[in-house]
Order: sequence, then C-alpha cells, then structure tokens
Amino acid sequence: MKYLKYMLSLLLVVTISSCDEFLTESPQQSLPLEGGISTVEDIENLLNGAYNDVQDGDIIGSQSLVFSEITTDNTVWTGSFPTYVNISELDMDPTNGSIAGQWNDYFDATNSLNIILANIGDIDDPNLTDQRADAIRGQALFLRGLLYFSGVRYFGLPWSTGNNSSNLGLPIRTEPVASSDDFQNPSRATVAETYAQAVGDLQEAANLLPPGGLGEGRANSLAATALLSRIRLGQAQYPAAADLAGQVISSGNFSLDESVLPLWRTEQTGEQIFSIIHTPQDNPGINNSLPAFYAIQGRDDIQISQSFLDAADEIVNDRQQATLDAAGQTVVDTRISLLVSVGDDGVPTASIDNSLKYDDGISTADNAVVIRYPEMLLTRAEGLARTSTTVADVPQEVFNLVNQVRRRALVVNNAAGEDASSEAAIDYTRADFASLQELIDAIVLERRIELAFEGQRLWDLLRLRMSVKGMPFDSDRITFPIPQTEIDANPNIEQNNAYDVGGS
Amino acid sequence: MLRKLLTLFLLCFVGVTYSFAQSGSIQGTITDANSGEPLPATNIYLPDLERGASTDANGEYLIEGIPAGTYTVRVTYIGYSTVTRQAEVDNDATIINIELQRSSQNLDELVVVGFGSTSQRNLTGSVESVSAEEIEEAHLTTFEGALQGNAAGVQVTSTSGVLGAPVSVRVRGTTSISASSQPLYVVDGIPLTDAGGSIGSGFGGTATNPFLNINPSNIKSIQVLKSATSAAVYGARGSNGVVLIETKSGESGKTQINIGTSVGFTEPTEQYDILNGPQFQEMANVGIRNFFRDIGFPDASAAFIESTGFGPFFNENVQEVASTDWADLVTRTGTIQNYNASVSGGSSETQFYFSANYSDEEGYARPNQLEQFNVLAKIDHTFNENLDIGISISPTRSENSRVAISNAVAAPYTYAALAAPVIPQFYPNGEINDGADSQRAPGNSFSAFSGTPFGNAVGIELLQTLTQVNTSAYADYSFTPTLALKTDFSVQYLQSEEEQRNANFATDGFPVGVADANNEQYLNYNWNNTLTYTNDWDDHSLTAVAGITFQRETVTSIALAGDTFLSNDLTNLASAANITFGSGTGSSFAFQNNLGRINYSFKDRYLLTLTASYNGSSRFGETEQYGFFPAGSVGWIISDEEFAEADFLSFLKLRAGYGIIGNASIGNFANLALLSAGADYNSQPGIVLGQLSNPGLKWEETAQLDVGLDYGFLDNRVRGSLSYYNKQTSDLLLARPISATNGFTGFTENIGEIENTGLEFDIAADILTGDFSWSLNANVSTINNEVKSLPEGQDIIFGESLIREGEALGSFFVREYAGVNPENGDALYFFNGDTDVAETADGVFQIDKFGDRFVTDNFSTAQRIIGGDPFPDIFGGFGTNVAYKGLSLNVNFNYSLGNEIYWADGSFLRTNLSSIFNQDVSQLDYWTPENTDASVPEPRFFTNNGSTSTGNGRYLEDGSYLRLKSATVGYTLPREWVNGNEVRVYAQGTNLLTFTDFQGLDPEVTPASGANATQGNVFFQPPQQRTIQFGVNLGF
Repeated sequence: MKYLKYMLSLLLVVTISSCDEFLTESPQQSLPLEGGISTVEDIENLLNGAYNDVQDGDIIGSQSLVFSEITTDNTVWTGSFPTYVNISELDMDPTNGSIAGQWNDYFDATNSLNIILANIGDIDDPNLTDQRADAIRGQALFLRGLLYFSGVRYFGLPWSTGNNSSNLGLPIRTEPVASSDDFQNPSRATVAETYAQAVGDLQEAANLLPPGGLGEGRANSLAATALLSRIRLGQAQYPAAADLAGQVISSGNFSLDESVLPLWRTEQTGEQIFSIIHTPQDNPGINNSLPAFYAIQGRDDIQISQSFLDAADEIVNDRQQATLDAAGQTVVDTRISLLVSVGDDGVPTASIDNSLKYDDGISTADNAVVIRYPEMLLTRAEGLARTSTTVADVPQEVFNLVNQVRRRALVVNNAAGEDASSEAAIDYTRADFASLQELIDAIVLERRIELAFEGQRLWDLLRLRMSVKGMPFDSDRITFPIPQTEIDANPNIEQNNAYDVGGS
Repeated sequence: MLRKLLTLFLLCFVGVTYSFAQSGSIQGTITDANSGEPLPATNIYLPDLERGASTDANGEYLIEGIPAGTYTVRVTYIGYSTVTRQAEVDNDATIINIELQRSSQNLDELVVVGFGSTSQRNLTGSVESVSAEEIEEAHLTTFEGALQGNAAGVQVTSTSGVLGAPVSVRVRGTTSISASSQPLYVVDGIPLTDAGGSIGSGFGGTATNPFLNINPSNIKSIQVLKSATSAAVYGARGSNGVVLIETKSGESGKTQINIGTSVGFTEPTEQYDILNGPQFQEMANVGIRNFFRDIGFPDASAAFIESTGFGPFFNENVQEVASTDWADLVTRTGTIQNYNASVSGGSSETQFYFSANYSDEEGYARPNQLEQFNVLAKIDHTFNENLDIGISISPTRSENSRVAISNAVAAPYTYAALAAPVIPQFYPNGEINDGADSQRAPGNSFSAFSGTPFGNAVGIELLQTLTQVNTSAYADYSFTPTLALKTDFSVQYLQSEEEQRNANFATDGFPVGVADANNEQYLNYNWNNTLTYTNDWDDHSLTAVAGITFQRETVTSIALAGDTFLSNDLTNLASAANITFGSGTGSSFAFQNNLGRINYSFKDRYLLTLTASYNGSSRFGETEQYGFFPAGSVGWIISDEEFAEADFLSFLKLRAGYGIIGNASIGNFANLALLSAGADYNSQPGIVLGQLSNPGLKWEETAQLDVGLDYGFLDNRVRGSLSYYNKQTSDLLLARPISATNGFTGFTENIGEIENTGLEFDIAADILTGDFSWSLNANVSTINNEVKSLPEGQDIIFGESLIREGEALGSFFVREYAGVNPENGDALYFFNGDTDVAETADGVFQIDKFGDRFVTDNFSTAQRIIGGDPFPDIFGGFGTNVAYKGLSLNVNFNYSLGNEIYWADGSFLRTNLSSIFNQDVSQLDYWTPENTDASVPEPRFFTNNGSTSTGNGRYLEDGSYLRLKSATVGYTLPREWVNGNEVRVYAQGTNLLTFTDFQGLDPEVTPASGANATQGNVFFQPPQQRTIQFGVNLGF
C-alpha cells in the first residue's frame, strides 16, 4: 500500500501540474494580431504583405493583365483550361473559378491595405517620421486605387457607355476587417462612385508620395499620376489625361530605353513607371504567371492573332513606304522582330507564334509591367490630338511624341540589311494625315503595337467603343459575372444583367 | 473477471508444481474439430474448484489433485465455440478429449474497448469487430480495406486505385462539415497521427495514406467503436468513431514459426473507351467547321480554315493522322510479391512476437510502385505476481514511387484519357515527344501543355519514403487482486521524405528539368495512465477505470525546389542550377483527457456502462479549452431469463445507450487572430492578416442514441445484431462562406446542426458444420443524413455541393441537363424556375421533345435544383465461405445503392469535343443536320455547348454499384503429408467484378480532399486495381 500511495500521488502531481502548461502551444509561422502592429517595421512589413497580395497571379501579378488581352483581337487562346477558354470566348458564367479568384483577391488585397491605412495613425513609434508615414500611406492608397480601377473595369460596364451613375461597379470597402464583427454584406456602388474612389486614392497617393527613391517595384507619386492619366483617357477627359501624362514626362525621371528589348529582359530600366516585381523564388508560378500563359516554355496558351499582325503591317504608311522603297530601304519593327517569336522563315505566323515580352518560362519570374513610359508619350499625344479640332491646330508636340516611340521601335535598314540610321524616314508629319481622325487612328495603332500583350487592348477597344469578339462595346456579356460564391454568400450583391436570371 | 483470470493464472503454476496423493486428475487433448490439429494454449477450467490449466504445444493438458466428484469442465479458446462437459473424477486419471468447433463469433471473446476490454456478451455499445482471419483472407496492402463490406455502418472508400492512396472511412455518416470526419485510429492503445488526412506535400495532386506502414498481417483484431458509450473514453476525438487495432502478441508454449509468401499481378478494373486518331480528327473537323459557320463563314474552304488560327487543328485527311493509344502507354499489368515471417512463443513469464514483412507491388499506373519493409518486435514479461511489463517496437519503411493523379496534366493516367490521339508518341527522330513543338509533330497543336502522357509516365519521378517507428512500453501493477495501475508511454515517429524530379520533356519539367524535395516529420507522444478496479461479489460484477492521458504531436517540414539541370540523369537538387523555393514550418497540438468508466453487471445479465471524459485541447481558446463528454448505456441479456428459455434461442441482448462526444479536428490555432509571415515582396519580409480571431470557437458535439439487439439462434449458428442510431451534431465547426469583400471567403464558427440516422443489420449463419462447412454473412446499413440548421437558414454552396437545411450534406445542386435540341444541336437545360418568369425570360422556351417543360440553351439561365446526394440509401456487404476438409472458398461482395456522383471527368471527356481534349466514344453520337435525334449536342470547337464544368446536371451520375470484392480458394494440406506442419496454398482475387451504371471508371471513389461537403465529387481518380495473387503459408 506504500507503493500505491506513492504512485497515486505521483499521478496526481503530474496531472495537476501539467494541464495548463501542457495545453499551451504557440504558432511558429505567425504572430498574434494583438500587439502585432506597433512599430514602423510592423507596418512596413504589412505593406510588403499588401504588395504580395497585389502580386497574386489572380490579379495584378498576372491575370488582370492577361484577361484583357485574351478577350481581344490581339490574341488567339489555344489553351485548354475551361475557365480561361470561357473568358477568351466571352462565354462566362458565374461559376467561373478564375473570375472568382480574381474577385476574391481584389478584396483580399484591399483589406490588407485598409488594415494599414486604419492602423498607421495609431503607431506610437519615434522612428515613424512624417515622411515615412506618408510614404506608407501613399503606397497603400496607390495600390487600393489601382485595385478599384482594375476591378471596376472587369466587373462593371465600360465608362464609355455614359451611364456611369447608374451602372454598377464594385462594392467599396475602405474600413478594415480585423475581426468577425467587421463583416458586412455590401451592395455595389455605381461605376462612377467606384472610379471616384480610385481617383481619390490615387490623387491622395500622388500628394503623399515622393517622386521616387522608394525602391524597385514600389509606387511613387509619378506612378500615381501616370495611372490617373490612364483613367482620364479612359473617361475621355482628354485635356486632363494629356496634362497628367505631361507631368510624368516633364519630371525627367523616365526615358525610353535604347531598344524595345531591355525592359523585357533585364526588367529594371528607366522606362518602367510601375511594375509588380516577380522573382524566381516568388512569382505566380508555372500555372498562373505571365510567362505561363505567354511563353513557349510555359503553357504556351496565348498566341498572336492575324489581326494583330495585319495591324503591325500598317505601321508604315504609304508615303513612308514609297520614300523607303525609293531609297532601297526597308523597315523592321523591332516590336515584332524582337518581341514576337518568328518561324524558320523569319515571318511571324498567327496562332503559332508567341509574344516574347514574357519569355522566362523556366523561373516564371517576368515582372508584371503595370505602367511604362511609352504609354505616357502616347497618352499625351492622343490627349492633345483629341483636344484639337483639326490636324492643323494639333501641336507639333503630338508628332514628336509619337515619333519618339516610332524611332525607338522601327529600324530602317539599307539594301544590305544594315542599319541605315535614318529614323526620320518613318517619322509622321502633319502632312501625313488628311483628318484629325486619321491622326488619332495612327496613335491608337501605335498604342496597340507598342503596348501589345500588356493588358491594355480590351480597355482601349471599350473606350473607343469598338466591338469585342463581335459584341458591341456596351454588351454586358463582355462584363465579368459577379462570382456565384459572392452571390450565394452576400444577399445584397446584384448580379450583372447578362448573368442575372432573378433566381438561384 | 480479472480476479478470476489471476486466480487461473496462479493455479496454472500450482497445478504443475504439486501433486496431491489423495485425488484424481483430468487430462486429455484438445483438437480442432475440422482439421484434427491440436490446439495449444486452450483454457480448461473447472468453475466449481476455480482451477484450470492450459494445453501445451501438443494440445495436451493435465489438471491434478482433483478430489473425486462430478465437475463441470469448460474449455475455451479464442475463435472457437466454448464447450462445457461434465466429468466424473475418481482417484485415477480421467481422460477428457475435446474437439472444438471454430466459431466466427464467440460471445466470451474479449473485445478491446479502449483502456480495457469486455466480452462480446457484455458489451452495451455498438462495436464492429474484424478478426485476423478476415484480414488475412483479404490480402490487403492497407488494413482499412478489411472494414469494407464487413462492418455494418462503416463506409470505406478509397481515394484512388494508386498504391498508398488515403482511404476515407465514415463511421455512421458524416458528422461534420469543416472538421475531419475520419475516425480516430488507435493501435495497441496509441492514438496515431492522421497527419491531417494524408501525409506529404502531395506533389502532383496525389496524397499518401498516413497509415500505410501498418502491416495488416500483424493485426490480431480491429474493433470499430461506433456508439457514444464505446467511444466516449476517447472523448474529444471519438465523435467520428474509433478504430482500435490490436496487434499480435506472443503466447506461451512451443515456438511457432509462420512463413508466408504470395505473388500476383494487378491491373485497372476499368479503362476509358475513347476515340482513336481518325475518329477524333473527324469530329474535330466537324467542330471547327461549325465554329466557322457560327462566326459567319458557313462555307469556309479547307484552305481558308488552314490559313487561320484553327488551321493546325484541321486536317481533312483523317486517315493520315497519328492514332496514339495513350492509356495503353501509361498502364501496365503490375506484379506483386509479398513475403512475411513471424516467430512467436515464450515461457509462462516471458512471451515474444517477432515478425518481418517485405512486399513489393507495382501499380497498374506507370510508374507506381510500392516497396515496404515492416518489423514488429514485442516482448511481454511477468516480473512477479504484481507486475507485468512489456515493450513493443515497430520500425517500418515504405518506398513509394508515386504517380501524379487527378487534376494535373502531369498525371499520366489523367492526361492519357484527355490527350488527343493525334499527338504522336515520338518525334520523327525517335525522341520522346514533349508536346511542345508543333513544327516537328503536327498533332502537337492539340497539346495544350508541354509534356505528353507517355513523357510524363517515364519522365516524372515522385519518390516518397515513409519511415515510421512506433515504440511503446507499459507497466501493469496490481496492488491487490482487484486494483491495478497501468501506465504506457509511446512514441510514434513518422517521417515522409519526398523527392520529385521532372525530366525536361515532362509537363512540369519542360524545358530545363525541375526538382522538388519535401521532408515532413511527425512526432506523436502519448502517455496513458489508468487505474482499474475489478470486483465480483454475489451477483455483482464491477469494473471501474479512471485515467488520465496526454498526447502531444509536433510536425515540422522543410521544402526545397530547383530547376535547370544539365541532364535528366542528374536527379538531386544539388544538380539544379537555380534553387527556386525554400521553406520550413512547424506546428503542434496537445490533448489531455481525464476519463472514467464503470462497467457494472448484475446477475451477469443486467448490464450498465457509464463513461465520462473531461477533455482539453490546445486548439481552443482559454474559455473553451475543456469539454465534458458523458455517456451511459444499459444492456439486458434476455436469453438468460427463465421466461426466454427456448432451445432455438441461444442469445438475445437488448442494449441502449446515449452519450455526447466532441470533435476537435480543426486546424491548430484556429482560435487566434494571426499575422502570417511569408507574404514577402521583392525579397523583403511581409506579413498579412491570415486569420481572424475566433475566441468562442469550441468543441463540436455529437449526441448519439444507440439502440440495438444482439441475437444468436441454434447454438449461435445464426447470429448477428440489429442497431438503430441517431446522431445529432451541434455547434458544427463550419467555415461559413462570407462575402469575399470582407477580405476572407470563409469564417469558422460553431454553427449549425447535422443529423445522421441509420439502421444496421448483420447476420452470420453457419449453415453446415463439420467436414463440409458452409457459412454465410451479410450486412446492410441505411444512412440518412440531414442538415438540421444553418446560420440564419442560409444555404452554403461549394461549387455543385449544397448545404441546405432539410437536405443531405453536400447535396448536388445542379442545372438540370435536358439533352439536345433536335432543331439545332444546342445543349439544353431545363429552366426549372417560376413558370411566370419562364414565359417572359429571354432565351427560355418550350419544344415538343420536352413536353410542357421550359428549356433554355443558356446554362446560367437555368435554375439550380437538387439532383441527388452522395449518401447511399443502403450499403454493406455479403459473403460466403464453403469448406471441405482442407479446401475452402471464400467470396465477399460489397455494395452501395442510391448515391449520386458528380463526375467532373465528363466536363472534359463528354463535351462534344468543345476543346482539344479527347472524348469517350459516347460522343460520336453527336448532332448533325442528318442525325437530329442525337444524344450528344453539336460539336462546336472552342465553344461551350453544354460542357460547363461546375454544377452541370449532365455530369451527375448514379453511383450505385455491386462489387465482387474478393474471392479466395485455399487448400490446407493434410498434416500427415507435411510432417505435422501446416501448409496452405491459395489463390485470391480482388475487385473481380463490378456491376454499375456509373459512366466513370470506378464508382467506389471519393475525392482526395476528403472534404465532407464535397463528397462524391470525383475528378479523374484512377480506378481501384484488380489483383490476382497466389500464395503459400507455412506454419511450424
């Protein structure tokens, strides 16, 4: 019985002493939220986390730049994955998983940004200087503006329909969800309200941010201004678009690279205004990255279209061609010769050849280029041209802007195939255009070729009120459906008309 | 009970050591009635004297010093019917030889119930038992298969037919939505880690069964605790049922050596019947022409089509295209070989059991191969009359050359069904076609991905090595004959090492080669302490157990990836030019359980069991850390009552129980608001709000009512049981979908209720006994699952799986496919909405073919309806065993009726060729202007004409089936031919025949994710394998 007592007491001691401590475990890859946002480093880490959210392949890191190409006349989708096939055919339904991923990740990233914006004011850290705080707040606002702008164009009808105060845009969330008490079932704001949110965020970002010096892949004030110029162009506010683009150009912070190639190879050049940086260790991967879709070594889903190649053939007008022919010169468009793969015969072929802008099918680390300098040149050119009434009163600057882009891209060769160093041969002059519309068409064409496969084509088609895959620009089948998961979870959300049958 | 055993034990010594002059003795031999073999270690007991003995290796026994008189002699042996005889003892030796009949159900056999055991007779809860013989007959790779069709109320489905695939086991329905519904597995008292359902990173979309290294041939018995009272001592983790596995131990007596070997082969139970090259190309041509017609070129010439982007897909010379049989290239007839040996025996103080097993199986899906090494060593020692100690150690290793399956192009078996047959296997120069270069191989335009099925079968290595060492030690100390303390401590170490290498011509390796490595380690400690009090007095019998148990599990992992290799022959990451990924993680949880149980019986016929457990888990917040789970049950052995005495009735017991059990199978730290690291950007550290705070998260609770009747007729030659259960699960841990605008798509809460009810009936009958024996067994279970309440009554929808009040969990919510519009070949769906809406809605109409019903060609316009659910109406199994002398035939069937399967394979294989994927031959009956009565819509290349993959009623299938699960013919050679040793030869087959209307390959599959709400959704799960094996077992 002596043993019994001994052993029983031991058991009892073990039982009582161990329980509470025994059941305490701590996470190893996470920190508790409580007290986890108190220093400037914490908030900067959160900002990195928000960039990481934006970097997601479902949104800005890849698909937001891909869907607006595969729905257009620039590309032929030859991949098989059903959700992408349906998008490329504009034959979507609300159960499309890729669209749901995009919707979810827009708001996932937005919440990360809202948490930063809501908490930064409460950080009591002497290292948080005003300058540092402005930089953080400004970047968060830039990214939120970018997300709302990107999202409203997919899920709302285009601005060019004119019914923006009644067409539905995105639900607007600007308060953080940090606990289940913050859950809401919001309804959709109008397209106008969503644009206003994006513009407001970007304007504030432009005021808060410095013009540079924050590091690679980070937004600065000029990136915000550049994005605003894109929005204004899409809203047909041409003077504003031209003015904003002009601010970016005159800042002197950016320049055209010597050739069209470096930006797409070395990835960091003076041409870049804002890009999402992907690294070999951190990118959307072999299924979701830009090279996964575009590269021959990737899945090779997106091929160039005949329409695009035909358009590229028009880049030299008849007058220029005649002059060249007379001089025995030929033109090579390096945007085709260097940035589109060509077959054995040296000629690009529709639906067999790929864009080479995203060629890193191995590490899948090509950056997502969101805005780069040539767009500013062309936006300012188009904005100024459209502000004019006739070709005659178009400022000379317009031609200079477009010619900058052309001179960089087009190489004039002599009969021996050597560089003839006569860029002027392919310059546009005022005399080349019989009407203002012809000039605008030339700028739009230049834009199509220069910015091809960068996620701009669909938005250009829509703002120009051109048809998309045979559908009129205001067709609600071009607009993405609100995902069924959102419809099922949120009773206040309204489906886009094409997908709304008034039931489940 | 224990005291009796103890007394018996002591008497054994006494009986051997002393002899009494003035008395007689009883002696004799105990043999098997069928084979005539002597039975060692049989118990012979004289209740009147409380004395007894055991037989030796020759089946002989001797009990001396018995005063003259008449005594009852009871002979018991596990697996045999107990025999009771009267013996007249005078002063001489009385010879009593007894032949025992084998019995598949012996009511006095001990059933392990967790921290103790009880007799089948005295059980008051629902427990299913599977014996070593049943497991041996089945010749399984993993033990779970032994439960299939053998245990009423237990649904067993494999996630696929590849080797080492996880198995889904559902005991009495699905009790949860978000938390795991898998039972708790306990081997020799050690709760094993389930590694979250599967172990390893699952490279390639496949997962591995965490119980792979448990060797079925070492298993002595499996008990499935189904009712609350049975499982309640495991409290928190018992709500999904508990599977108790007892491994074999040594028995004193002559050393037994058993050696067994078997060889055989495997093949898939079914293959897709898909289009060949010319059939495919012809259908593609039709689809392409229709595409051009739809975009305004009805009379497009071949030359015109060839000049467009669709040119590479178009080929009018259909007889000239390649016709590759991909499925044939990626499958094979695999071989199986299996060797095992065991040695057991010991003295009365020390018993040992050693076994070793080696097996090597080739799966039918190239290059699937599983090689296993298992060792089990067990020693039990009686130190003195008070103290028993023992140790068990089991190192095991399996090397699984896995194959990617399901939703991956890299999965050879999946892609083989889908890859266009016009893609050639090789380039003209003999290199393996990597699918990438359409200039070199014209059919490659149909290759959406780099890699081909054949290239992936030979160019992907996916090696997983599982190393498991289970070690346990116990001490059992009896303070008095009635009070004993048992403590056991065990460590489970489970390591998974994975290496993946994709050659440069494989899908995920193209074009430079890719390698991944992943290493996961589980360390699972358990310490169980129980104090057991046992006493019998007068008509009372009492066993009381109090205990405390601790479990702590940690898991750590390291992962690396790299690419760019000089050569496909260099396989290690050291040869990668780029390291592209690196990660290391760790997590842990702890459980503590204070448990108590009282088993009381009065007159050995009125039975009462009370259990309680007070459980703590690190997974919940402070306020909800502990849960209290009580249960109780009663039993009444009616057949022992005088009024029930009848010759034909040998046993009848009524039992009823009720109890509450918890479920904590959720992620670690689910209650905390967490900032998750690793959200880096441009190599700068980032953090995001990964999880919201959830302090109120608490135990999911299942209250279960269990009522049953156990019966035996005609000397238990007909026996079985009938049970009814009703399980109400409340405070469901549910990741409720929320508006994604909140930044999260779901939030786990304790909301909602689910009810599972069912009837279980099983019967076994020994129709003939003796030289020619014939027995039958059958079981049938019903299951009725219903979601009782949800937050605010809101539906929750995951794809086509619906969670709705009043419906079965995961009912299929689909737009009902109507068929083909005979006028234009459009796929049509029934509108199924409000008739008033239908009359005005755009694109909704009526045609003669569908009578009054409104149809639409617009998928999204059709309203979703519930098209079925994944729960069978009834399921179970039946079998028969026929034996004549040494020759035996054993046949087992299992079946499931009334369940639906969402067959997502169809959204690729049956799309009337809307994309570049191959089709099954049913699609040849497509609509044309000439074939307007077609069953398949018109092919329109790159256009969705009825092929939407989510929630499309076209792909909802009846999953009912009947399967000949196994058949075994065996012959035991007469002992006199083989020097008195045992030699048995057999031939055995599994999955020999399947009867089903299911259009996919195998109705007996479940999604690899194991998610409760999406049961019955399948996507290219490879079918079960059919195996044929021949073997021989030797016993010395």
